[in-house]
Amino acid sequence: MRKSQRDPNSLLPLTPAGFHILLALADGEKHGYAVMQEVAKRSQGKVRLGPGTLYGSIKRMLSEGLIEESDERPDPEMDDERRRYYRLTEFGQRVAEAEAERLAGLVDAARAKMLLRHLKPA
Amino acid sequence: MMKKNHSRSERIFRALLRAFPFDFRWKHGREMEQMFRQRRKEEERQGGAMGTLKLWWETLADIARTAPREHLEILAQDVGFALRLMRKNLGFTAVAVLTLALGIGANTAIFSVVNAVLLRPLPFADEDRLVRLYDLSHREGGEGVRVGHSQRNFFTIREQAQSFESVAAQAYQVLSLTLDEGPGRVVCIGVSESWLETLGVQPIRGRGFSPNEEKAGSDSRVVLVSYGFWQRRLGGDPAPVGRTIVLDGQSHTIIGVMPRGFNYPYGSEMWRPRVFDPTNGRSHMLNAQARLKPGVTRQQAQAELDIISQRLEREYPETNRGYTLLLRATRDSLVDNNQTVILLLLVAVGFVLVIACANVANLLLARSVMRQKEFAVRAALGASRFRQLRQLLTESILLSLVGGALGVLFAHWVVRFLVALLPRRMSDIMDEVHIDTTVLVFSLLVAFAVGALVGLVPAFRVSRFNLQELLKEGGRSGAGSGGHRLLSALVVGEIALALVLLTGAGLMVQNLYRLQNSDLGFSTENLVSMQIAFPEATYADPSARIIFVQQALERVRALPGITGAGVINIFPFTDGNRLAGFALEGQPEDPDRAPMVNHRVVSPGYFGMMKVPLVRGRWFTERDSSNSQPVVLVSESMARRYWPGEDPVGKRVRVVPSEAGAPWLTVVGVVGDVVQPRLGDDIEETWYVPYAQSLEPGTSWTVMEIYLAVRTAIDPAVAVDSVKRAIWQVDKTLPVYDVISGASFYAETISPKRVSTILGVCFSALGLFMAVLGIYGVASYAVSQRTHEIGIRMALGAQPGHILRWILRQGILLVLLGVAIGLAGAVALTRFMSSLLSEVEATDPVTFAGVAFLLAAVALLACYLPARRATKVDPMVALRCE
Repeated sequence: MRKSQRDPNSLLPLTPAGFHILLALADGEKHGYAVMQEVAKRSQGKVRLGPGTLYGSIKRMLSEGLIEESDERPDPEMDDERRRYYRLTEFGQRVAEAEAERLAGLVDAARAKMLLRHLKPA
Repeated sequence: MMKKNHSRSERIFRALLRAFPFDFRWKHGREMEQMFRQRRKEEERQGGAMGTLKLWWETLADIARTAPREHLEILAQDVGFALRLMRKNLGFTAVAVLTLALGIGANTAIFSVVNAVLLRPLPFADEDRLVRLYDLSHREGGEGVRVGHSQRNFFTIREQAQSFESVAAQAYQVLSLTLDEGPGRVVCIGVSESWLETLGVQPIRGRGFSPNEEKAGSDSRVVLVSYGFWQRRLGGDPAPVGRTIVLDGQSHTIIGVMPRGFNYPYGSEMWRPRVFDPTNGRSHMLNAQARLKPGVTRQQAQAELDIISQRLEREYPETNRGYTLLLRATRDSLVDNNQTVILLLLVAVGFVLVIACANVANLLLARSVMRQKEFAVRAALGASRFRQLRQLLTESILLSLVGGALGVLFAHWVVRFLVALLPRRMSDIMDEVHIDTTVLVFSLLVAFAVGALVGLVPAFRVSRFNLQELLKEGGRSGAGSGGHRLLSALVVGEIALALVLLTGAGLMVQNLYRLQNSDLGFSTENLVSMQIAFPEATYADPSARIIFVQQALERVRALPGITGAGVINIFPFTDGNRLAGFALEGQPEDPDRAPMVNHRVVSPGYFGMMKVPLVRGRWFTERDSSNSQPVVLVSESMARRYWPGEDPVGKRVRVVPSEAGAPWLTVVGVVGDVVQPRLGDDIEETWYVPYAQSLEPGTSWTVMEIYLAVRTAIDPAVAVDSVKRAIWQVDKTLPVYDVISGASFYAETISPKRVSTILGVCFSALGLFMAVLGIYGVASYAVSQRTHEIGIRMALGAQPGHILRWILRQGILLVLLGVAIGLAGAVALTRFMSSLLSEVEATDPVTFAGVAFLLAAVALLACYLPARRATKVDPMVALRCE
């Protein structure tokens, strides 16, 4: 309850790892390994979240109320081991949006300064 | 095979996870392992060995980066929580921090002394190979007395001993230094060839002595000065080398400055070459040291010295019989005077610290009982036992670190106080006592250890709490029998330690008190003494000294406010001595077994001024001159021992071995015994020869330093300046120094004892205070825990008197147990003090009984106050507490 009243901007800017994780969870709950995989895929393998970085961020985001644990179940695509799944909270969703807007603003500014000539506008 | 490989790398990964905090691992460890396993499979599929290598590299880097962060986060949380807690309970915090500050501070202060005096490396290269050499005199029996070498012995060792790389000697000299503000006095060491090489030191500015300068001796007119001399007397002149200074009226060139802290031997400020006489086998005045050849042990060198000493005795029986040669490690020779007292003080502050720890542990334990609910709630919220332990430790270590920081400040102040207490002579060494990095590291470690120790006591109790029990129990919290036992054990320990401390301090106080109040045989009231040194250059002729003394005494006696003045070679308030072997007329003379007396040289008027009584015969007068019959006064103890039942007046004695036919001295009187407090019980018998006669060759040794003592009718401190001026009217180049007056005699002469006693008393008072506080705390706590029980008892008809006795009985038991253990400990430990106690036995029953009584009384009072409060409990209120 209290969390939804908090200003999402108070947590900005997010760490790169934090934003990656929020992004990975934006389209549904995932377990840690899946988060890591998605981040790696999206960044063409450039960002590889190590276990310490990933779970350190998850720990802090849990306590900030950005994400929550959903449940623990086997991932049918991998093996039969039980995995803990995480999903965005409503507050996490708003923080992710705010961060995306912040970044978009930066990109606009860069474009206005002709720093992104070789990229087409979205 | 593959499977095995997997499980091995997983095991390694699991081990690596231990770098993370327990709670983090507990929460995410399994997922992290899963993730690692998955990635490893993936990498193996794609990249083979290179991929696996890359995976390990990334994983290690990741853990190294993130694990410390997790720990820091917890630490920050715990520190934040602990700080809030400290602020919330300011009273508790203040008591705990102050207790720890006193304990750690006392240890830091004494450790800084230990560090400076015992631990810090000597300012010599390869000090392990450096040894001091002595002649060991067996003339007084026993294990022998260490004295300096005769010059001939030194040269013999230097030529014959193969064990040494080099051998060098030095002799102490006091020179007058002409300064703008009047003649000053400087301790200058005359050193033999290769002295600097033997010690392994080099000047930090300028150069050492050249071979030519060493050969020329004092004629070379060059000196090395100490760092302190450069800073203090030359004002830190940027170009000290090449400056000239006037010593004993002759100009000398400074050729170098020695390193900071180099004052060897003890308190020297200046060094110059000196030529020694290889043919002189008599006076044992040379201090020598040698550097062992690499690989030669001290035992081997000593064995060689033994052979040389036998050879010397055969060759020069008249001077070397009764002497052997001895070698000791230089470090031992430098520290042995101070070692016992410093180590004892270290033990004492150690005890204070243990008491402080026990007190703080008590406080924390009591508080942890109050906080049981808090811990139970945390545990219910998922904090692991380890996490709770960690938080408790953070709290106690934080307390201890704050206490330690305060303690270092306190220590800084104690050290300054110590330096101020000591006579100037000793502050040279104390200059080196300061809080340096070693000391700070020591304090930090102590604070850490203390914090961990006092934190562990309650932490372990907390971790044993049974969660459900506690939550069920509701508001009422109790420590349970285990907690009480622990509290009681801590209190018993505190009392025992405090008792040992008090006993030690009590013995030292008794000793000092008796020392200060012993009858010295003379009066110290309105007495001033000062030392005067005759420069060899201008006072080589004895008659010059005699004339000076006569003229100076005349002028001083004529001063207003002076009621008497006299001169003596060794004043009772010094630790110097000069012994003479002598023979009685008509008895066989055996130089080896000649009886010894304290040899004193005095001017007429000395005894009258000192108020030493004349028992029979007559005083010296101005008529006892170098032309008249040689005379001597003997002390009562000497008269008793050598002429029992006879009148010694008219008997004759003389110095042996009789160099060039020492003349017979006729006893003209008997004077009262005078005690020289710092000499202890060596030899009581003393004789006195007139100053005017002592300077004749063959009678005795030349006396180049004298003490002038005056008795004043006015404030002695006021008289000092006029006395100095009177001396300088006779000779304005003479250094006058070490002025000691009136009450400060004791302060100056027994001050090392006084300082250690003051410290001992302070520490034991601190220990007592803390122990009593501890008892009081525990008793109050016990009463507050039993309010309910007391209420029931009173409701059932118990009288206040019963309650009082019931509570007191428990306190008395603890106190008596503590006192009994403490007494046993004190008996065991005070043995080590016996060398410091000249006036009192180390097992002095009066001290033991007194201290035990005092402690028991104070401790019982500390129990009584809370017990009395218990009797005021209103049964109804106590029962309603439920």
